[in-house]
Amino acid sequence: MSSTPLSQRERRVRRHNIASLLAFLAYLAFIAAKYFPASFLGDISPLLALALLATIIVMFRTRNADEYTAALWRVGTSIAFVITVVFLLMVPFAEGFVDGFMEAHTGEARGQDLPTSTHALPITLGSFFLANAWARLRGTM
Amino acid sequence: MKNRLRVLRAEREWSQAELAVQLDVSRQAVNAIETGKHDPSLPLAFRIARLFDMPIEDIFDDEHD
Repeated sequence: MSSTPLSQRERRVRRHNIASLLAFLAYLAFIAAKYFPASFLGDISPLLALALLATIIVMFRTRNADEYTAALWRVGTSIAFVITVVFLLMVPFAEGFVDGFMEAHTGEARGQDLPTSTHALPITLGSFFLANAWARLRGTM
Repeated sequence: MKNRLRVLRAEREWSQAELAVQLDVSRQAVNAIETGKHDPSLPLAFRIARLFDMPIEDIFDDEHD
């Protein structure tokens, strides 16, 4: 069986796809390490963060390898942008609204308990990977 | 958008990889277009039409999803 050598474009697309998979795995491991710091993953957490950063850089550099990968990248980034903005603006607003409502009934003042800025990065990256996977499975439209 | 790319490719007995080389896109892009998961850009649609020597509207159907 003969195989034709891969074109430069095909190699870049494959690099992008492999980086996407590795970035997603690094993201899952990084989240697990964040919530289970006493585990083995907690010990290698800085390494996971570096792996996540490196794979995202590879994804970014190869995002225009092909119009299909560019479309996948666009879907992921645009969804992540909207989710991040909504999360950072609406969650504190909703919490303030509920706290104000509760305070009016109980008389007990409540501060901000949801540290949105702490969760923003996992939410942003998670929504990017979910949208990217969704676009691969269901289409880029 | 529905298209006849898979049929036209099969008629010429080309693999997805061979078609991808001729269109200067990746095999994944050809697969995504054939399965309706990605609508090609206008320049790519023109390249496809020129390659098969057919009008674009004979390859792509924008009225039936």
